[in-house]
Amino acid sequence: MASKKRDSSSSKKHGSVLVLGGGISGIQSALDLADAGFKVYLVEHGPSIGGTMPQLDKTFPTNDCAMCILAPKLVATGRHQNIQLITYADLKAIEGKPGDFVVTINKKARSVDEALCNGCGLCVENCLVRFKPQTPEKIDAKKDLEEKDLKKIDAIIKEYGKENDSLIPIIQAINEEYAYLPKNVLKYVSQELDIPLSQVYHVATFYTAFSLKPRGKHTIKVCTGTACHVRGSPRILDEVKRCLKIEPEETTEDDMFTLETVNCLGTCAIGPVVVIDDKYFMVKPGQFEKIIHQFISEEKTPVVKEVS
Amino acid sequence: MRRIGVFVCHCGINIAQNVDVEELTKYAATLDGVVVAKSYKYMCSDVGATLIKDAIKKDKLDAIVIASCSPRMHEHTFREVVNDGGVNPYCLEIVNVREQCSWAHNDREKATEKAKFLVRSGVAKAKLLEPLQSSKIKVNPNALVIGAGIAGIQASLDLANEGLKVYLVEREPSIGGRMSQLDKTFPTLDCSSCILTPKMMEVANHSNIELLTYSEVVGIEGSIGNYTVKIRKKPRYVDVDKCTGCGDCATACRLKGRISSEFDMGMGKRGAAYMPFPQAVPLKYVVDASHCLFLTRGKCGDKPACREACAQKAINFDQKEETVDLNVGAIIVSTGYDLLNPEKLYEYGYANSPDVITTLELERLISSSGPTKGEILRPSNQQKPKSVTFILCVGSRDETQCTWCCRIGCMSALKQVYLLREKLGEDVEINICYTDIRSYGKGYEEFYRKVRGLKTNMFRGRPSEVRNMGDFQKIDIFDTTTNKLFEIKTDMVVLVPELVPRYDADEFARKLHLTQSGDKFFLEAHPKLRPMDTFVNGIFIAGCCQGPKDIQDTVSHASGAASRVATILSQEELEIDPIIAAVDEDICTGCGICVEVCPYEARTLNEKTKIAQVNEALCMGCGACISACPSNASIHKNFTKQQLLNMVDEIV
Repeated sequence: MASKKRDSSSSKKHGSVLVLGGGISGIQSALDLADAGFKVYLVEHGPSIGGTMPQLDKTFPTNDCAMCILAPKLVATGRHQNIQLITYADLKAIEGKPGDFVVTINKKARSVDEALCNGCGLCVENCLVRFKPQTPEKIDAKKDLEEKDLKKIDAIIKEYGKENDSLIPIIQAINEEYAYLPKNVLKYVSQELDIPLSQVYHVATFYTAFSLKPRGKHTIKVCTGTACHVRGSPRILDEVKRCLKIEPEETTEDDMFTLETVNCLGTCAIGPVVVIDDKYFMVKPGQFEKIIHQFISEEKTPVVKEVS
Repeated sequence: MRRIGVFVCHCGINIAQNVDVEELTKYAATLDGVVVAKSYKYMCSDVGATLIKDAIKKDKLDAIVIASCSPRMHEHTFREVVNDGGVNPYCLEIVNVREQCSWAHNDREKATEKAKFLVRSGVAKAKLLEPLQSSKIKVNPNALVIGAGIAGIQASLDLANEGLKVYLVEREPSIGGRMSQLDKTFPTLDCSSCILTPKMMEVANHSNIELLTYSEVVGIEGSIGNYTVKIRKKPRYVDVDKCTGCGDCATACRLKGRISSEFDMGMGKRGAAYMPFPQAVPLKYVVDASHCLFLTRGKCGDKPACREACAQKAINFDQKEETVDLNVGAIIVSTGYDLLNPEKLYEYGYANSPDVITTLELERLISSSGPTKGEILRPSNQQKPKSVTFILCVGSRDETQCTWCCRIGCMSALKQVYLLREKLGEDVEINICYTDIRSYGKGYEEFYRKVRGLKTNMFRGRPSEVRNMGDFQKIDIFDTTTNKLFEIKTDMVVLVPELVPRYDADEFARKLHLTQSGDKFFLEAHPKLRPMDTFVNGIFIAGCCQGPKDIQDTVSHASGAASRVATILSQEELEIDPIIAAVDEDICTGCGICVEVCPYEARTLNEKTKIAQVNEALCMGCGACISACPSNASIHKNFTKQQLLNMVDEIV
């Protein structure tokens, strides 16, 4: 909506204004001044105006694309008759007083004639220092593994083959071996099968059967399915937590038990159900402590014998 | 038959990498109506522009299709080029083959195929493009500012100093707004009236500012460049030319000290003849018509006491309401905010005890020109309080009340804590119940740290209830930083309520056709890049009517709005974009549906002919009336049904 200037007393004083800095605030100031009919010199330190805003992807709180709302202003600034862009330049000195400043600007050598360059980009493509390749340093995942682990895993990989399809069986076998998936082992698997580590994690974190955290020797599963819930499984779970002093998904300090909750074990008739390793127990409140002591004593008996 | 030229841009490699530009150009040349098709590396460059202009001359072109980037980017550039070449700038169609083809697709063959479709439909539209002329309107160089708080004052001064005539309308008897009620301002602890009063005086004395106090906007007509605003001037019953501000009328008033003072937020009393505060501008008295005995009952003793007391004979009960019309080119709305009434939140006990007050009420107690002359006294017994508890976020950040943050509550409370410490000494217990301390401004965080060091007890949480125990108030608060429940016994409770839109914001928005956001504050045209503009051309918003702000932000906002207005008013004429709605008068039945759907009030029914018409200055070309018209009489210039159908025919 720009048109003929008003010939009023105010417009007779029209001078020129220097705006230092071509970010969004400098651009807006320059445009407002230029629209009001003032001559504007917009000085920018960098080779292009725009400032920090073009570096942003989206802007809060509306999630407007930063470039989409800025670009029209960049274009308007570039083609405004009243704005003279001085990019790649620095302020050197200011003299004078309000209304009559003399500003010295130091224009850095661009080594490109701005009047002739049409932005074709051929110079970039032919530049010899362009896109210097930077490859990350290769780290051998083997180094993180101990000799005996390496043997075990190599055997597993050999058994299933280095195919993409073998990833799940291999991870299953590792899980069986360690009861969880150690990080360094997964890295080694990724290296040997030539599958990105992200993809290995993708599988390892998808199935609830796999765990990335070390697990106890025995797994206790408490069913919290509807049938078991109705028959009192929350109280059983509380009891288990109290007994073992752990929350679900945690392992006891002595690495003996890991507690899990499951949604249904398919044995609703005997609910509420607790499974310790592969043994099913129909537990009534107050019974769990007995069961677990019995389990521990059975576990400990051979140890005692050995010592004696 | 149109002679069409098609120009395809490589955009460096931006378009060329995924669209076969040469093939597209060859294809375009074969289309019906196309006389010449050319491509160039950068159409927007000077060389590209010359290429287009030369082709227009050589091949006598009268419509141009340019296949390049988004029209948002270079439509304006190319319009100028085409115009320079001698073709009407609106006989230009931009086909976006960069964002819509090369950037969006990887398959070069298919992207080229799609580009061909788009160019074909662009050419089909170009055949029907009509030359349009942009009309011009004269601009009235005067500005109107509605609301004379700090925002309105700043905007008026900025405009007036640029040499523009400003009408400043204020509905209260004095200008100054909320800022004049404050004692000190954070974080510098400047005395509020010491920095505001000079500005108020400057407004009063500025030759370019015409002040209309005790006046309200009744209605508005016209559009950008030429608004006519109806203002109702309420009778002051005091002749402002004669009144010297001596105060004899207020002293004589029989109701002296019996009416609750709005300026003191009800903490002080005034008479029916009064001056809101000692620094009021204009420094003239006013008679409150809703309380004055003479005006309400027709009798005030034998004779009205104020009229007898006034030596200047300034009291005039014959004054009548006046309506004036102002002609202005642009308007700034700076109507400010209200505080949420805490009575709505019964749990804070505002209605149950006089010792539960709001932050603005405390501000009046702190102020040395306030009802207690700056002494902090409990309203219930006029004794100094031994402990004061602040409750922040009253109604703020609360799904059931106001979802937003008031932005100034934390800082205003911290400032008051500082001032209370100064006035009441070390022994007074001061508690703050906060949600988060949001000290985001320059110097704010430093101020917060300073206040924390002043023996201030900080509780992070919202109190469940404030209970009036007679002699004291009891507050239960669960502190989420220590996970402990505290019980506070305190003499005074200060609530920091949310900032809300003016009680009549809806009605005001309707009068000026302003849009409101969900929170009922006036909506800006773009939250980031056009924060002062509204959706009505020529009307701008400044200050807290757009959303909560501190004084710093309000002043910046107001100066910004003034600069936007000055840009418009500094021009003698404005050019109006001709791509707007029009009416086919032969078909229009005058049903009025378009008048209802138009969000910009650009549609009216002609009183004589009873058919619809478009105010070109108001129409923004949104197209709402086009789709609403049941008889196809609404036309969008250069987006006509036939033009669009032609485009669709070529694609499907």
